[in-house]
Amino acid sequence: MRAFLSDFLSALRGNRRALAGGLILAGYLLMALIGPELIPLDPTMRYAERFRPPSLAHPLGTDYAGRDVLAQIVHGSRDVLAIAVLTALFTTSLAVGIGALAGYSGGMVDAFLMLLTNIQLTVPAVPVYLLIGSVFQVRDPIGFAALISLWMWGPLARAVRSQILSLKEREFVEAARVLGLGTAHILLRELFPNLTPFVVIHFIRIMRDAITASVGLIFLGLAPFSPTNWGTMLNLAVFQTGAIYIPNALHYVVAPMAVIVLFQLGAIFFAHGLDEILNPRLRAPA
Amino acid sequence: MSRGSGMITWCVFVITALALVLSACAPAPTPSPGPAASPTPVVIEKVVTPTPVPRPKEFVLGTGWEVPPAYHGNPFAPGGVGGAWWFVFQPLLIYVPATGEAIPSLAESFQEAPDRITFRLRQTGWSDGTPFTSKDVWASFILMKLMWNWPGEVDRVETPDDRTAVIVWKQPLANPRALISSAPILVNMAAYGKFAEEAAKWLGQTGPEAEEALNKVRQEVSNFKPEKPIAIGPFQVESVSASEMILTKNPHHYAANRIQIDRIRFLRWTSNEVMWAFHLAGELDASHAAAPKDVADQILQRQPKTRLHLVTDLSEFALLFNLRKAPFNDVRFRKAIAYLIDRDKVREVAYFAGLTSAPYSHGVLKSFEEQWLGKDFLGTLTAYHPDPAKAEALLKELGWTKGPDGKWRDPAGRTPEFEILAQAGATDWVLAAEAIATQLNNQGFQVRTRAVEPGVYPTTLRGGQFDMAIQFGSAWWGTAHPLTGYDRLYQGEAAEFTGAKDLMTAAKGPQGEDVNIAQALDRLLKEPDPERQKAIVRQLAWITNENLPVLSLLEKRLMIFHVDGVRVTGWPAENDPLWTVAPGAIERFYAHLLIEGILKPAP
Repeated sequence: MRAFLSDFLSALRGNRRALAGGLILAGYLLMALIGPELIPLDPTMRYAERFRPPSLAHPLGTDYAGRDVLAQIVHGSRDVLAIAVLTALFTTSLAVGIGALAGYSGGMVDAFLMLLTNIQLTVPAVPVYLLIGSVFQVRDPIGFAALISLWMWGPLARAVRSQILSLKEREFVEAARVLGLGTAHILLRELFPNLTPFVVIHFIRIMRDAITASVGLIFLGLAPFSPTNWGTMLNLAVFQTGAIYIPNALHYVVAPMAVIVLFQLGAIFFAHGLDEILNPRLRAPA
Repeated sequence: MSRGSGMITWCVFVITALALVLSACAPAPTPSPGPAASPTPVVIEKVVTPTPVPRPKEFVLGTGWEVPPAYHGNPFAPGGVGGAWWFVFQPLLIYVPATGEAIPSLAESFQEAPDRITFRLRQTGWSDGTPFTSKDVWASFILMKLMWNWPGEVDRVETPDDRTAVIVWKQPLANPRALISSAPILVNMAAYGKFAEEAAKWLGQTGPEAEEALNKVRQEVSNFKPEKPIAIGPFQVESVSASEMILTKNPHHYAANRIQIDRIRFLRWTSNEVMWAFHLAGELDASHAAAPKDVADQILQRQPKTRLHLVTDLSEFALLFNLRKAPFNDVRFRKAIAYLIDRDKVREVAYFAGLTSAPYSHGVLKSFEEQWLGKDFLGTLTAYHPDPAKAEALLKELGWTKGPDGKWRDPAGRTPEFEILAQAGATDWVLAAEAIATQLNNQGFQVRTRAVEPGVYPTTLRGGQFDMAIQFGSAWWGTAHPLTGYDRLYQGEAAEFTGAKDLMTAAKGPQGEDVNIAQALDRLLKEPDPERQKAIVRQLAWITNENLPVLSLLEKRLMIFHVDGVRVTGWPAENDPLWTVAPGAIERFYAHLLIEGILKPAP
């Protein structure tokens, strides 16, 4: 494990795209962990101070109600990242479990699980979310992430199944079978390590998609409206408060947009970089 | 691909992109005279001056409609007519809420009696060429009853001759003029007579046979989908596309010669933001797209010929309490909440053009407070000025305590979390909910906002799945009378949301008397004397203010952006009471201005 980590870090240092992505994501992680302690959020509305341009007191200016935009972004990062990571965790676990089981078992199990996957892929998410949201109330990031994950695992499950179908015919798996090793051993010790790069890359992509999905769910009313959620901030800026039409309010539009774009960019860079590092076929010759 | 070649490709891409951007920024090349390639003289035989195509005298508005092929002209079938409604249909009279005056419209005159109004109809025609008769009035009201079960106050329509229609009420009404003003004539006998005659046979009858027959007619009416509406109003639908709807003059209309605008061009109103953009670009002549203050300022600044007129929408935004649920079922808790909210600050953020309802919450719109209640009576009501000390006293009386963390704890020692619901997409409601949540959180409560998808918002509220919610409180649409507002608060939609329909059937009046609210509303409905109406309204106002089924936040005022001097001119003066025709049906106001020749093409 230590050797793997050492190899990984060394490869990461050599891949500038992955390094840049990793640094961006690490920055976001730091912001979520210690940012709220450093920058307090005062939610009091001061209408007379609305849309103030960036200044020392308000480095990213103020919003439609005179509140500090930077503080909102920093405080929003905790929820946004928690939802992103948890969604990725739930979705990946579900997708890998279903995909691996379907691909390895074949037969009726495969047919049944792929039927479920196809249903998930073909039925639009919004009505399902509405249905679930009318029964269960989302109150925290865990519930929120679980709700998003519920209708997000299909594509990855299908991809994992394909990978397993390909891997299980390889010689090392045949050898394991000949040696009489059990299914659990073959799945956990032989197949999953080969899937890791693929899954890690998808994990990061799902984090990115989760941020987009969370905004949609907030506006469907399936999750509490959070004024510091970056997506909500952007929506408020563009649609609800008309900041996009007000020249001295552009900072309010640009700030949440920039953090979302930068996060997405970091996630893409990191995912692509990891793909290059972890996939031997893409790794540059030494 | 190696990393080095990747970098080179990247650099080439960036340089190419920059080159493209810079070349696009360059001024357009001007045609150079070039060398005289041929000395051959050119003989100009005739100079043709292009005849300028006369600009159509148009009036550009924004509205919504079903996109073709779904669009159709049946006002009774879902998706029909769209925003052309008040231009293609016209009421018998126009009611002006500010003065109580009724201006004859499709009727040239009318006479009122306690149980009826007799209309002398104008000699005018439908766009299909058929003349307008009293039978059309009869058919319209029959089909309104059949399809909408409205207006319930009308007993029957009598047609003594072709040009006389008599609307007979079931009982004397508080404000019959407003009702007639909101009920346009929609159909003629030529196209819809067969449905009306069949419906008339069964309306008023009960039993399975009648119900089956009525359902059959309803189905037939819904299935009838002419391509365009048959217009009795001043304009007819010329064309409809996904982006524009064009109306041209109805040549058979009595005022066709007086109307100086040739056509109405509607731009599709998909959201307020789209309307703001149209206004900023100078594409619209008028709209009532509610806008934040800064956006409104931008529009007025960038389009100097644009004016903004504020007029009551005859409605108020309110914070609805779920009376079925503790602690909101206790009036002392609701009062504590009222004392903790600075409603004027909510107005600033959510709807700056509104009139704050503070310090009262009596169900009479702020603009009409003086007319219906008066200063002396207002002095007898509890005034809910922001006062945390009073709120604290009420909460402590209820057994609530404030913990060392500054959070309120209920009598069981828990720190409950509350939610304020708002309809997603309703900018002002979401912002109001957010502003109230922030204020309550600052006072030690844990309150969150949830924006609910419009399709499920009313169902969620009706189902009682909320603590507090933003919705219309008292609303006087259609009648401009407090009766409609109280009916909404105690028997109508708002009452279904709060639970007041079942939970607030009786209350103590200002003198400690027992008041049955349904009976009070019925007395108000049947009371023609204005002074006696006021007495009942004051009783209901007192009950509403002291029991707070809802907390009124602000009176909504329509923000009517209108451009004077570009395509049209002649808008009424700022203080003209005609503006109060706009709430509930702003196109009716525009159509009236055109019919009367008040609004005309700009020179």
